[in-house]
Amino acid sequence: MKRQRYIVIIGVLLALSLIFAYIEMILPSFLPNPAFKIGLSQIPILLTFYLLDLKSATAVSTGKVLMMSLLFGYFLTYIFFVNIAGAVFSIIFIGFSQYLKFSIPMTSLMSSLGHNLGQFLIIGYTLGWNIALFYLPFILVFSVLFGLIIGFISKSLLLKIEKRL
Amino acid sequence: MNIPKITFIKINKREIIIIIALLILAFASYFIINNKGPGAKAQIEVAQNLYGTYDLSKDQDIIIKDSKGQIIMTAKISNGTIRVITSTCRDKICIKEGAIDLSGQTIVCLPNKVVITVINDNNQIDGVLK
Repeated sequence: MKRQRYIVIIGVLLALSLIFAYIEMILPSFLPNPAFKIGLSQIPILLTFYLLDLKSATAVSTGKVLMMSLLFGYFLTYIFFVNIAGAVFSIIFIGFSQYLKFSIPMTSLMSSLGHNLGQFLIIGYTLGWNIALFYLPFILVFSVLFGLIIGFISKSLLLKIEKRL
Repeated sequence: MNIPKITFIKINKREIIIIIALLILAFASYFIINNKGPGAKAQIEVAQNLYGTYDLSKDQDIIIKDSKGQIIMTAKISNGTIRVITSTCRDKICIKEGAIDLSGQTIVCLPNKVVITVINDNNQIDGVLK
């Protein structure tokens, strides 16, 4: 792939992921616990992984956390480290599911599970494991549910994009 | 364009088994961890240090300060429930979580590292999970 083309594609995907993260921030949560989110910004990251490669997905994922923290003023605070742990674990789980040759919805599920488990570990380590364990059942259920939803959205988008590119 | 060929594998048996296993794990952990009962006291922790334990039957406003002495949060106890009414955090998730009154329920404010837990009189939760 030409270098210019690569830069344009990864830039658009990073911008999309930032916009989705912002939309998710201002949308009211309809879940029993408002701390949980659908994970719309995971769609561009999955698209990056399938259109480009895992390295680019890592760049988009960590770049998203970095830029969101700079935009909304929580760079290098506690919440920033929670988010970066989520991003890193999500990428590790995507790589793991690539190794196991999972389908797109299952990769999305693994990525959302990794995201939540990364945050779970950091929160358990810093705020006490009884607090983190209280959220474990919700983490698992919501990872499966929203991971699959995001996975099916990404799959249908990929089918459309693949023809155009 | 030389995009690597996308393999659209359908969800297969192996993946459905993993999904079902995860859901079973979720429901099992829910029934093991959530031992909800009527709560008597609210325990407030700031950055893993016990800030105070407050009786839920007595209506009061609690001002929570961080280690530097700055006010970060106000909690209100009324009608046997506790909720957060003001907070300095960005997304105000702790306020949106609303009032809690059953033992084991928590309000967590991540930016301020504040954890509010409703407990029984006999501190059962600490005994089981710590």
